[in-house]
Amino acid sequence: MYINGCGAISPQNTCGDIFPFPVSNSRTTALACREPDYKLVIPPKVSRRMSRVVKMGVTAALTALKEAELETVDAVLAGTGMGCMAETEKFLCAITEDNENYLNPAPFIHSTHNTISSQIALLLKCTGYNQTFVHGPASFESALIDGMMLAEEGIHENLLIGGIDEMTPNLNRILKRFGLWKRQPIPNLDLMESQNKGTLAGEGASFFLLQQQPNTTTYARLADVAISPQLRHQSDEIAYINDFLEKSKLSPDHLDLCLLGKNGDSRIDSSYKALENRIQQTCPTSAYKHLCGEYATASAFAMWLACHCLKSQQVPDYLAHHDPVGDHINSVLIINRFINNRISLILLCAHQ
Amino acid sequence: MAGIKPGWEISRTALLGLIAAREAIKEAGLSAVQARGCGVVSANSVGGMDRSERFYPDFLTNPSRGKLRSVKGHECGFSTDFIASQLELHGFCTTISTACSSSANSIMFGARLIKHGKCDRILVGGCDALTRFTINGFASLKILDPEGCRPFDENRSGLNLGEGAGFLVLESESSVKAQQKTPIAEITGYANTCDAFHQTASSPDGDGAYQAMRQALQIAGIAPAQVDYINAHGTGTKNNDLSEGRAIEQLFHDSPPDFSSTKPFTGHTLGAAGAIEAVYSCLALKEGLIFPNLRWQSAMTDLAITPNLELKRGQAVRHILSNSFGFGGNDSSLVISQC
Repeated sequence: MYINGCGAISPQNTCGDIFPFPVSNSRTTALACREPDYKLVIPPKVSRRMSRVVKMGVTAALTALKEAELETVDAVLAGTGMGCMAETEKFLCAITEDNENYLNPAPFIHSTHNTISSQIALLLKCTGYNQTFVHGPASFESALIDGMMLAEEGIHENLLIGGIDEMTPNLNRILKRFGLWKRQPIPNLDLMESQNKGTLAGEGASFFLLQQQPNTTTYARLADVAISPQLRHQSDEIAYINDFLEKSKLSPDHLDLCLLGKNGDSRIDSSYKALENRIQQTCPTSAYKHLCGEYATASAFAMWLACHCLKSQQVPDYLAHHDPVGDHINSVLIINRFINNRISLILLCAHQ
Repeated sequence: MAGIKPGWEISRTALLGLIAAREAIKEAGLSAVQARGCGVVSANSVGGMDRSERFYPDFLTNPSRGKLRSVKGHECGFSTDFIASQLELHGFCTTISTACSSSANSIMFGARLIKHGKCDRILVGGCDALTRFTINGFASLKILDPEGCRPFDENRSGLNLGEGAGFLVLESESSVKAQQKTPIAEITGYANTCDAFHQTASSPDGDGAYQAMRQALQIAGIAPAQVDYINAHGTGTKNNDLSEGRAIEQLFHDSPPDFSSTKPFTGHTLGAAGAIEAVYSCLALKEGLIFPNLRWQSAMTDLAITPNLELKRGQAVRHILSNSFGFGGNDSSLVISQC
């Protein structure tokens, strides 16, 4: 399948047309999205009723659609780890504070996980397939797998697929108590070198317009996606990656860039070490979470980055500062490890 | 009953799911090796909300308060991972959440994974516990009937909430043949569409529901006349039953098959409903049953069709259409057939 349009709302300057975008570096413990003026994208009458995460998702989706010069699509697929957190919290607070009386139903209605994909369908009058996956770090990849199956089934030609997650003050506090974040603010570009406990909180919405045929707006070809079963040993991970690449008639030697889901938390990054050492023997690796922070669907942002690298044939300094990347970028592999011994893989290839 | 220590603070959603999933895996007679390779596609509407809502009141008084263990399972994917790890199912694992159609979608997704050769066997279904969150949510929408719900009745006045879990083990045709197993039933058709009409209401003409049923029959390769029973979504709300009834009329014209909603027996189990009703459909196929639509008294003025009112036994039931519709106009239909 070909990625013929994409859009991202992220903590970086990803709303403009410039790539490499001017990088944003701030001393913080949480990276919040740099949000555009939604009024310019979503009709204000509609936008008023949307929660922030829905606006983020809808805007990213509409950007992808516009880039591909389409009016609507045949299917909308979303991945979200936490769904519509702000509305969920709003309704939870209302139940607690109002003692279950005179509740406004609006936050309940908009708390449902599939609100984002539904609102996109509503706006585009898309009456086709509509799906929402909610499986932590596997959410976005699940949606991609579904999208690739839809394309093979041949009923749906134009697909919008995205990954969306929002951070809220309360969720941030709760995850802080779980020990997920850095104790002290650090410049986000220093995240990968920090090597102590905790990472930076993040959020974002990235949407992709996928079609069976390439055209003048094509970014890249989505060659394959996979979520592994539980792998017992680290050596199984390498074998799994080799098998995965072989299906696309590739080997690790053919890769030009590998984006890893490391997040600067020494406990997480050490689990990537063996994999990273092995891959670095044949292909430059880089991390991306110093740009977007940690969240369930951060891999969708990685895919947005990879799309732009492949289309512009450039890898910005803030992405590959360790190893030189070859002259021509043909293939990018995105690897994420989950804490339950699974990995997810997204393989993108240059079009042309 | 689930065999889990109370101190773990595991969400009731996950516990309900574990009990049903364990039963399904046992009945499927998977070998230890097969179980290890088996994947899970589960579904729910609000994750571990039953625990999160106990955490919040304390947390809101002071952000350093509230038992952290209670929110560990808040994410929808938690119960799926929990079931997979408890039953040692190490294959592909994911979760779907599309409100009340969630587990019809997880069955559909699992069936397609098998069709595409991505796995040989997969546990599919969904689970949802009653929560203050959902009870208050539906109450605020003023669509809860304080009495027993009356789907497809002119005087229906809302739904009853329920809780539960339903799981099925789907196995590929080649795997079933190689082992000479006798399956309970076959998923022959499925479709998901979007009404794109309103965030919570279905379109009055039931366009999304009509398209979901029509496309599911098309995938199954059967004509509407071959459907022996429709297990309707039939929540008992003014909006759903009108929209679904019109969709049935549009597809089946003057001669619809027997149809009924089994929600008066179970309540609306939200994310688990599609899977629980799929299990009922399997039972209907196996035992030749057609279920009654409880508490129905008067025909809807806007519909010419009326639901089946008696438990019919000894019927030739070959194909069942099972409907599940959710917020966001998410409409799913499954065709479950005799093998």
